[in-house]
Order: sequence, then structure tokens, then C-alpha cells
Amino acid sequence: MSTKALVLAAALAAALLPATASAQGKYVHANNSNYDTLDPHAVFDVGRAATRINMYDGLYRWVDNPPKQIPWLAESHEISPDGLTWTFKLRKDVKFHDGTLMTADDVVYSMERILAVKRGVGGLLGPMVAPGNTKALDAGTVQFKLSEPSALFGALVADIAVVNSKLVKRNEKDGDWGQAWLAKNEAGTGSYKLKRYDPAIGFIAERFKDHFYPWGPKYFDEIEFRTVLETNTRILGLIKGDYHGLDGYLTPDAIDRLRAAPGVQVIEEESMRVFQVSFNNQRPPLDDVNLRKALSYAFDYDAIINDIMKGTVIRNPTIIPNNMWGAPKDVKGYTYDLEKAKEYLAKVKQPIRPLAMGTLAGFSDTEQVAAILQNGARKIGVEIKLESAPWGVVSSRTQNDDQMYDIVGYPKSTFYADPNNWLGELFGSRYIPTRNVARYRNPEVDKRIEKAMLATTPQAERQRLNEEAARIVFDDAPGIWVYNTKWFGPYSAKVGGVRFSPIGNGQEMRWAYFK
Amino acid sequence: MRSLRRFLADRAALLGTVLILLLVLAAVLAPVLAPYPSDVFDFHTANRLRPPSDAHWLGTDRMGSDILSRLLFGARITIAIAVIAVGTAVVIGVPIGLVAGFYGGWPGDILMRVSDVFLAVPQIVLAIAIAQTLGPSIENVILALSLTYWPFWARLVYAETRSLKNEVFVESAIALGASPLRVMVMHVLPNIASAIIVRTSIGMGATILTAAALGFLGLGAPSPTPEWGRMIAESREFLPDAWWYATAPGIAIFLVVMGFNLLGDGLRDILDPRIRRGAAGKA
Repeated sequence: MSTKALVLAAALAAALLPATASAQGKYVHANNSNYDTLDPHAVFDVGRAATRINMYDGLYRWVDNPPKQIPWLAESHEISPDGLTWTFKLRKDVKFHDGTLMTADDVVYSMERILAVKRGVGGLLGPMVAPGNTKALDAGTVQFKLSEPSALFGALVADIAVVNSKLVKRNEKDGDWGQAWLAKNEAGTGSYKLKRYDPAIGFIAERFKDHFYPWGPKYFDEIEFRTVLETNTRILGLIKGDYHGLDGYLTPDAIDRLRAAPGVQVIEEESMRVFQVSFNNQRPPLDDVNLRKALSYAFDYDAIINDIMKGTVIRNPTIIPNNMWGAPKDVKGYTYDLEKAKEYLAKVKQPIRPLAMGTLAGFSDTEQVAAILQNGARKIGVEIKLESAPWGVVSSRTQNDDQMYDIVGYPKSTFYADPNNWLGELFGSRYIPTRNVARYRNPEVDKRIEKAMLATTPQAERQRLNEEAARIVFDDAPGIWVYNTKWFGPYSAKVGGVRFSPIGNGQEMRWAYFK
Repeated sequence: MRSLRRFLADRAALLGTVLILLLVLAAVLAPVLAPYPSDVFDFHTANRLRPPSDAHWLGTDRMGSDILSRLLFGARITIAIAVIAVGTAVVIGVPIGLVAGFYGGWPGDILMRVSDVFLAVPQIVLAIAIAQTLGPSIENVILALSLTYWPFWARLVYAETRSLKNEVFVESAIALGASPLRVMVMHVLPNIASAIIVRTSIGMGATILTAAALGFLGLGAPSPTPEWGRMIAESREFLPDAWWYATAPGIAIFLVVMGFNLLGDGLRDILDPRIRRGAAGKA
């Protein structure tokens, strides 16, 4: 199942930390992903979002559900008629944690850094803005010149985390943009300020009193995000009161248990998180569409949705969530049909070796989906071997062509509300390999996605293009799409003010407090 | 005959033997005994996490498979790991101990220092390191266990050989012109066989325990192999509600390890007249 030696390390690490809940106003969150880096420009996922949203700020901020952006480091912005020039007015009262004032130069440096390190959100911003095209017009105004009139740029400005340029520059080594330093240190303006960090344990941050956004009457003085890969430890820890909040990735079995436990509340929210399985479309034998279709028909969708997830999720036939515009409503989805699976398998000409599938340690949903796929594949004579690793490890492996698994499955969360978040990122060739880990390439799909991405394309046309592209992708079966889920956020009953947004999954702690 | 009678009178040893016979029986007859032999791989998700009942004596697991059936097939893996790993360890350890003990001098010192190095590192940690590096599979678990277990036999055989070397019958064999190989195999080995057998029996139990630990940590056979340690690992997420899920493989491991330990103790009583538990006076 899970774990390896890391669990031992995490358990040992947890044991070494002082007993929690002693400090007044300290919130402890048990997380199932490991915080292997603090660099806000290096990672862009929900599992490790807590570092970015609590210690750093972006130009805007996503809040609430359905997600909306509110002015944050920027007060307002203007877009030129051709959609290429975006000018942001910045707040003038924003202080970094070391007391220096934030200026447009810091935004420029942060943007250049994102484009230079080419990790995290850089994979999305890279094709939109060329290096050198971000300018500080004055201390309080910053201007981005886009290479294309992208409709998505506006949705991503929330993720341009601004770092303290003077501080980071002082810690640069051999032109590394301070990557070595920023992986272990913090240079933000965020609501919380780093106090202690250990990649094996997690991080502790204390409230930044001088944060520009007014604090409410109640807040946490300190927040701790601790890595606890063992699902049962997280659950028991919350029930016992050692932790005050957990990840929203627990299975219905676990949620049922938590609902029945005293002192625990489970917050339920609509969300757009599609469980998807990506095949490695470039490596034989999965470069053959017939094998991919065979596996799509060999997956028992009902077993997952009705039995294991106990009907808390709904079938999502394509990669775009049903409740998002651009999802083709008429597509019925692949069904569990071993006869059809065998028909397609018979068309595969090349020999089929055992396939390696990656699952996420601590994410039971990924392990159970993998087990179901493995079982179905075995029935048509295809062997799948499962390998479990923490998300940080799985994520890095997907970025490397040699280390990439043959199959990997995990839910695709929301980073911005546009079909591109799912369809474009997972199957547009411009996102290989950062987001398109399936390494799927189809010019017909690219053409439509690229056009749908432009702000100059009318909305009705964008919807049509997304629907068409989703249908083509569906026929090519570069992955398996299983279900769209709700978010079940388990918290201690003492915690109030949790402000959930599908973007960030309720991990922004500045709004929350002990009742 | 006297030994056999004494062995049969030792209830603990007898119990151990019965437990091990049951394990072997379960492994051999798994396809016959298992109520749902196909459940080793098959899922019935509609039936998941059912408590013990007439249809499923030990309940069902997270995928709706019959736990009893999986347990029976898991016995095969347990035996395979224990026999092969311990067998390999004996094959490596005994000759090393024999040669080092018989010749002594610097070659013996080198061999013994190497085994000391292995013994200095906690076994489970070394096994985790090996299994993790090579990737999770049954073969690698067996390899990891063999590589970490042989020093126990080398140490034991070394000590026994050293003391036997000065015995008159060994010296006379050498004086008669027997080759060193002949002396080692024909004269020394038979006289230390009982110690090796006792150590092996107890070693089996320890190996099964370590293998289960590796399986628990996800380093053993990959899913859905019905390896006992892995079954416990899978079940922990459903504790304490699905208590039967972890209990069944847990008790199985407990009984088998206890069986080998009791058998080892019993054999030592018979084979080694110097050490006798309780019954010594009566014998």
C-alpha cells in the first residue's frame, strides 16, 4: 500500500515535535503531501498550496466558492483593447516580512524569476509572457506585455507570488535566482511569516501583524502544517485534538468516521476536482490508441463511484468537470465492458509488457482507483504493477521523460475557473511535460485549445472549441476520467471562519480562528 | 526413539509442530480449503468491509475479497519467503563460519569482521535499505533477508567449529591424513548440525516477522498479492471499525512465528543435552 521509509521518518519527526494545542491560538494542520520546498515559484499544486497562500501574496487573490478574485497586492488593472498590455496599480502600503516596502521592482523580479526557473506556475505563464516583457512604470505600477492575448492571464495573476527581490538577490548563488535559498527560506509579504521549516516535518509560521490586509477580530497566532502521510494517524489525531484540520482528500469511509466523532466538523462544498488517470502516450505500448481504449473499457467505474466512494461523487465522462462550461454534455463516457476491451486489445499489434502505475502514498483514492484498474486490466490479460510514493516524488517523476510512469492517476484540482485548467493543461502540447504529464500531442486539439485561450475569441466560440477538443481527446483516450468530487473538509469543531475556495482548497488560514 | 518420546512429551514443542504443520497444510491445500479461491485477485466491491459471517468466516477486505481465502494463499508466500531466505542464509553463513573457524588466523578474522559489520547494522534497517533500492517485490525481499541473515549462522558455526577443532576426534582425523574439507564436512559439520537446526527453526520465525514488516512498509510483494504484512498495512486505514481486517492476518503471523519458536526450543531440548528446560531433571 503506502509509505516506505518516509512514513517512519514522518512518524519519528511528528514524535519529536512538542505536543500540540498547548500554545494559545495555534492551528495545526495535518497534510498528506510533504513540503519538500518552500519556493513559491517551484510548485503549483493544491497539496502544497499552504506555503504559497499563507506566506506569499499574489496581485489578486481567489476567495469563496464559486471562486472569485479580489484585489490583493494590486488595487486595480487595465487591459489594452488588443488584450496584450496589462497594467496593474499596486498598493503602496505592503511590507515584506523584513519590513521593506514592496514596489513594482519586486513584481518584475518575481515575474522574471517565474519565467526563468520554469517550474510551478511558470509552465502556464511561460508561453504567455516573454522574459523582459514585464516593466515597472513607476514604484506603484507594473505592466505586462503578453505574447498572445490570453484569456487566462487574468486568472493566473493571483499566482504571481511576489518575493522580496532585494533579499533574494542577496542570496543568489551562481545566477540560480536564489533557488537553493528560497527552497528553505521565505521572502514574502503574506499573512504568516515563516518560523521554522523542516522538509521532513513541515512548517510553522506566525502571524504577520503588519500585513496590509486588515486582520479580523479573531485569528490564529501561529499556524503549523505538518506532513502526516499515514491516513489513520491524521484521522485519529483530529479526533483526539492533536490536529485542527486535515486535507480534503479523505475517502467516504474516513469521512463517515469523522462525522460520527465528537468535536469534529466536516465542511462540505461543491468543487471541481476530476479524478483522472494519465497514460504515457509517447512510450510504447501505450502510444497505441487501441490499448488505451482497451484499458478505458476495462475500468469498473461503478465499483469506484457507488461502492468505494459510496455515491458521494458523480461520473464525469470527459476531463472537463460536468459543472464547468465547455464540457460536452452529449458524451456518455466509457463503460466497464470487458468484451469491448478485449476487442480493442486484439487490435494492438505490439507486445504488451507489464505496465508501471504510480499511486500517491496517503491518498487512498488514488490507491483504490489503481487497484480497480489493475484488476480490470488483469481480466483482459494486461499486467499493471503499482508503485506508491509521496506526492512530491510522484510529481517530480512525471516531469522526467525517463522516470515517468506508464500510468499515473490523481485528481485534477482547480487552479482557475476555465476549461483550460483541465482540458488544455492536461492535453495541450504546450504544457508537456509540466501539466500534460500524459505527453499527449494532437494538432487538431492544439488548434482548438490555442484559439479558445484567446481573449479575442468570443465566449460562445470558446465554449464550442472546448467542446470539440474535449470530444477529440475523448476518442483518443489519452487517459481515463472517472468522477467529479465534492470537497469534504474535516476540521476541529472549535475552528470557525474557514473560507473555502476550490482554488487553494481552504488552506488559506488568515480568515479562520478558534471559536 | 527416546528423543521422539521426549519431544512428544514436551507440549510446547508439540504445539509448535502442530502450528507449522497447519501452516504447511494451509499452503498446500489453499485452492481446496479457500472458500473463494479466485478472491486472491478478484474484487466484489459491493461486498466490501463485511464483518465475519457464515459466507465469509473472517469477513471481507476493502475491495470485497474474502479474507480467509487470501490468508490461505498468503501462507504460500510466507513459507516461500521463510524457506528460501533462511535457506540462502544457511548456505552462505555455514561455509563461511566453518572455514573461518577451522582455519582461524587472518582469513578467519576477515570473514568474521565482515559478518560483524553486517550484525552491527540493525537488520530491519538494512533490509529496508536493500529492498527500497532494488524496488518492491517478493524476490527482493528474499534477497534482502538472505543478505542480512547469514551472519547469524556464520557466527554460530564459527564459535562451534573453534571449540570442536581441538577435540581429540578432529585431531586424530587430521593426523590420519584426512583433507581439511573432509574433516570439516564429515567430522565437524555433523557435530554442530543440531545447533544449526535449532538456529534455523528460530530464524524462520524471525524471518517471517521481518518479511511481514517489510510488506507492511510497502516494500514487499506489490498489490494485490495476499502477503500477510501487506494485508495488515491495507487494513490499518479501516481500524478500529473493521477490526476483523487486521486481526486475521495479525493472528496468523503471531501463530506461525510462535510455532517456529516453540519448535526451535523443543528441538534444542532434544538435540543439545547440555541445555534442558524444565524437564531436565526428569530426563
